[in-house]
Amino acid sequence: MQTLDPIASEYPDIDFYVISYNEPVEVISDYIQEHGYTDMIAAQPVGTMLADLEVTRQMAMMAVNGDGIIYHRQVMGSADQWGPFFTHLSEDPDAVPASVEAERQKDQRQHDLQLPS
Amino acid sequence: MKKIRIFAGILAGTALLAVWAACGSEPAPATPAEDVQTSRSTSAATELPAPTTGQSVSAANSAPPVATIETPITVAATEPAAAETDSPTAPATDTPESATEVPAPAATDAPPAAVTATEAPAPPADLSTTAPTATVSEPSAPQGTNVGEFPPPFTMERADGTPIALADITAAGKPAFMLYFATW
Repeated sequence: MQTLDPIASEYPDIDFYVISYNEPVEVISDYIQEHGYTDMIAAQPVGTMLADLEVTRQMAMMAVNGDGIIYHRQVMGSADQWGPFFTHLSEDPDAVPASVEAERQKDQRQHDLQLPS
Repeated sequence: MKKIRIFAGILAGTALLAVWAACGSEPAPATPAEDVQTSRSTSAATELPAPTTGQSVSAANSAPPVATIETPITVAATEPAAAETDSPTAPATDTPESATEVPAPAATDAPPAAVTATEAPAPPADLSTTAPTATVSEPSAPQGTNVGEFPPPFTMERADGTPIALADITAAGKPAFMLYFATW
């Protein structure tokens, strides 16, 4: 959280949630307020959220865009790699990853080619 | 006796003429009718009945409409009218009739070709109008947990008890970043 806080302050257009596996949400919230991480939101999973999202390892990160589509997933990574993702999402809330966009364009080209001539 | 000698001389003369004619005579000059028939057979390349001399000459004058058969179909569609207007000046023989009968199918075939030529560009124009509408529709993301997929519905809860669902994030249109961690 110490590493994530300056990033959360840099991108106010993105909501940053910190979710603990084993600690109550009240403990995490107190920890955030104690250290002044005001740009992060403490939350706890409800129901089978972790299983549904296949979050099986600690220090897992997942970002979704404004449409709810998963933009980035990472496990045990460095916060230095997140800058370009957050910049892209901040500029375009509905942005999709470059790999997904390339796949969409490929599918669109195939769809256009399949039109009757 | 004298009459016999004269008759014998005549017979001998005719015999010599006959021998001379049979051995060394030049072919007789061709008649104008034969010239016209040969020229028509090479130029028009159509079998025509042997007409009389006067008719064959007039048929040779009306031969150019027959030669128009070799022109393209688009031109032949307009030239049969000229051939029909020229034919009345020629005498009523088989040659002008054959000249008018041959271009007739070409004239009837030309309009369908023109119709198909005008109908052919129409389908691409319709497709060009339908293509942009197909590109506007964006394919929906498949559901899953990988990048580029729409995650299954989930709900988390803030410290004050406020639930936050995926639908809330989608409704707000604001990206969200979730950090899952554990303490020990």
